Amino acid sequence: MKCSKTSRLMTDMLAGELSAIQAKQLEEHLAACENCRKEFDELREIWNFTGDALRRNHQDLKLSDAHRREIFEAAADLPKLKLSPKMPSRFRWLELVASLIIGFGVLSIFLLPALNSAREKGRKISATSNLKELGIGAANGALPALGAPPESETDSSAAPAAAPESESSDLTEVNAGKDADKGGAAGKLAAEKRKDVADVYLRRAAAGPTGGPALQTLEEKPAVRDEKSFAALAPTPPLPQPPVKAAKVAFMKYKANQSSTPAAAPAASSYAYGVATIDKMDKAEVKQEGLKFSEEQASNVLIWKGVPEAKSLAASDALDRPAESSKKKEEFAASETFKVNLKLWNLTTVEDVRDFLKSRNCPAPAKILIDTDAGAIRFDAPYNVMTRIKGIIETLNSEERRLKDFKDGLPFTKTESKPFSTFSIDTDTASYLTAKKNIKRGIRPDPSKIRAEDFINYFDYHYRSPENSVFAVNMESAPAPFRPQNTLLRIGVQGKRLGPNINSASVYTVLLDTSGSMAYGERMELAVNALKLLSTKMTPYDRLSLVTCGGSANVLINNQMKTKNTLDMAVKAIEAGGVSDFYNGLRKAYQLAAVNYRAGAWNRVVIITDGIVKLEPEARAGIIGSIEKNRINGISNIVIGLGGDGDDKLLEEIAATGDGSYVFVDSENDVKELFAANFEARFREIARDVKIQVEFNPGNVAEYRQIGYENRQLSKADFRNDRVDAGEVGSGQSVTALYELRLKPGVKPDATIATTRIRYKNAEDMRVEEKSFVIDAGNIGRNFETASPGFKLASFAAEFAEGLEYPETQNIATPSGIAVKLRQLYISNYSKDEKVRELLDLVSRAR
Amino acid sequence: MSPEEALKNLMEENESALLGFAGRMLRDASTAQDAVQMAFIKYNRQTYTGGEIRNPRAWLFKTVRNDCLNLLRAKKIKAEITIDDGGNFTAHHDRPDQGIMNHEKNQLLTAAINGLKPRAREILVLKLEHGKSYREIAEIMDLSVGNVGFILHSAVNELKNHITKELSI
Repeated sequence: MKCSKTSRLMTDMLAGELSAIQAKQLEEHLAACENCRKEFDELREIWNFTGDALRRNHQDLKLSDAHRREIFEAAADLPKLKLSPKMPSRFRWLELVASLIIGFGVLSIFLLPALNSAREKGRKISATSNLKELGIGAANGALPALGAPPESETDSSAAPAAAPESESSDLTEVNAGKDADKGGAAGKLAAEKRKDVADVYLRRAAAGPTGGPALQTLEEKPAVRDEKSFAALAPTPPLPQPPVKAAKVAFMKYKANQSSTPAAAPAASSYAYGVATIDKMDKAEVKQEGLKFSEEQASNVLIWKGVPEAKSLAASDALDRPAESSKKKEEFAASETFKVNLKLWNLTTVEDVRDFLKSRNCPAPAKILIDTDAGAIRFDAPYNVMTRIKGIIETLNSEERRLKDFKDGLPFTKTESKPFSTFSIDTDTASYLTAKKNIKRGIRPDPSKIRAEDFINYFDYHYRSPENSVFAVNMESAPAPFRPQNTLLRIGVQGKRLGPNINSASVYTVLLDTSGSMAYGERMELAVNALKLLSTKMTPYDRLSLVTCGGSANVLINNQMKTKNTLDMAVKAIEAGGVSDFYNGLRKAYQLAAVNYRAGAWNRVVIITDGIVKLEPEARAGIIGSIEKNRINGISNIVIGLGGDGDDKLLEEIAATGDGSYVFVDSENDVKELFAANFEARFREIARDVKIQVEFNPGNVAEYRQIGYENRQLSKADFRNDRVDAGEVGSGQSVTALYELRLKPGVKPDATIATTRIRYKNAEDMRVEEKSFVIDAGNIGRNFETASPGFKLASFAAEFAEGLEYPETQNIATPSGIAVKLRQLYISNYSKDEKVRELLDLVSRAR
Repeated sequence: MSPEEALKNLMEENESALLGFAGRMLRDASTAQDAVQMAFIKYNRQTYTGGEIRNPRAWLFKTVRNDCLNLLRAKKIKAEITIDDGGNFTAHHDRPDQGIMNHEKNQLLTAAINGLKPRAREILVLKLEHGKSYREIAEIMDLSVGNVGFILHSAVNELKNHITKELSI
């Protein structure tokens, strides 16, 4: 190092901002160069002196009590603050108006009969019942009719307890539409439209049997605000009036006919309803002019049918509405929200829900709102339909509870309720390797860290390679080894081996965790070894960047070619210490990867860490988000996990989000295997977002259960949604999934058991491809003993994993039971397979 | 920890440093109180409405600084941070002669610091008085990390040259 370069480094050294490698270099230089040493000493003195001087007069300053109090008061005021962005102040009074309207509505329901008791009975009854309906219609129907913004829809469906509030805000929306009359181009437009509609309405009103002389014109004022003038209006004699206000007046006219008693409150309330209803009617009528009716509009019509004129008009109107709607309106009353795990039942779209209900012979209501994340669904349906829906939802809920109960054997899903099982492919094996390590040490692995799919996928099943396509799917079925009454279905997916483009250039960005925990055992050694082995895989076209994150993120190598020197220098500078700044390390690594991105090359971030990182939930979400963004831009990752005591879930999530895989290495051999035998599989993928959907035939399969893949479940709709991320498959890699089935008795040999569909993006051109494969009952093996060795091995690995994952559950074979059968298999078929020998060893130890 | 406790902790951890910093900028203790109070209120509002604050310490500093700058600008005062003459330095030293020498050196230093460019002075205060990292300073002052390092480097060297010249230490 030259003396001229050290000066700046000295300041940084004093500031504590040097990377380990730079600090080392500087120290070496200072040890050798006397001048620089002297300069550094002087600088340090001035540094310390200045620091002392600046800090000397430090008192413990405190905020005054008054200031402090105000901060807390402001904090206490915040809940109010939160409401305001969602609800502009304009709507505040509208909300008040809306609640008053409801209040009057309720009043009117109770008051009207009393007030009208002197009048003719028949009329009174019809009026109250209509008003009642109208009240419910306005409260329940405002949402479907007006199509309130989705936010409020989900809010109200997610929180049934908040129903009154949401109802009033729905009404607010109704009035908001009216309010729009007063200003703005949109308001004018709406007013224009309303005018036209009102004309139509008036014409009908004139033709209707209750049609009489029209009432006095009303001012365009919010209903309740103008109670007084309104109260005065009700009994006044009819006057001629312009058609614009006809709709409202038509309603008023009814009021006047219906009750000659001056009744301010009921009149006001019904006027308000009239407005709300008419506003909604606008939509229905405008559509109706085009003689078109959708289901949703039908529900609108139901509501406005609550207005008595409308009812009477309907009979004489040329544009006759469906006759049953008048019948329906008596039933139209219920709106209810249910809690149900929508994703589990593949009910992620409204269409799915409709189909589902239809498949259960239940008419689908017109209005369905779903919130898949909150697991809430809301229906607006007639009472009789609602009771049926309730029954269906209750069975789903009880099924959900049953699926969570692992005590008496692992739960099966009923094929009838959910014939589709959809999941993302997962080629990780990390869970098996961590479990292996723990068992060898005599520690029972943490059940929450067991992933059966990792156990199954660790072994080689030697499936036949695809000839012309990317994947070959191999299905095999036979009775289950430990529960022979059940049938086991194995789905093996074998990816092709890549040809020439396997040799495309690579741009690696390695993030090496150099936090203190990496100093334990041989972690750092393994990490450095992995790094060195990676560099041996590099061709002259490849580039390497290296970022470390111990204490702070440091870039040691930036996009350099493989030379012995660069790596050696960097490796020397690597030293474990400090708290892992994983957040910034990862961000830095991804930034570098983005900067050094090369099109057509394999751009990959290699994360080597023990997973002992502290991340706030927000930081974690931030990391996952940025990985996701980079994945879309073509930067994938691979996570090499060490140690096995870190945040396993985080590492798996990082790999899953970043189109990568999570590999756990615990010994020199593991590292060697990763870079020798598995390099292509891990670093060269042939397909992305690989999803599998198995459709079971409910006629033959009573129940099924997937082994593992709990974290990889997708909904039915996700399968064909190509934006949904899923797992990757590397060159020559295979993936295996297992299902345990309970067949219906007397299945014929030619009956279909299951159809497996595989959908993926071809990594070469990102084209989406989908293939399907069928297995018939005739393909089911007669007994377990005659099944293929691979089938047996997979079933043992799965059984072992589930035994570790659900130690409390009955019905799962004990390790000794597995060991007996596995030993036979090992001797007869796998005597040369190291992995199987190891599994046998583990199973025997786990006893 | 309840939000109120969290707020209390945050205040206890940071108020002293923030008040010191604001006091240096505004040269007025009571206005400094207002500025720091405002920063905490803004912090609450920000976190409450879901705004992400990754480094609350740096964020608070940045907010206080911006508020101070606004206040100063409003008063048409040149916005810069100054170092007051330190007062009694002898208390920290056992030997009076050293104390006197330090006192002299301190006056020199104060003068030298006040002779620096405002930005350099501010970085110096943030680094040496408040122990902020380059990244935090960069965030507080809207500079790049490299720039912070460079300015600090020249500032420290300027101080060194100045004092060496005057005192030949």
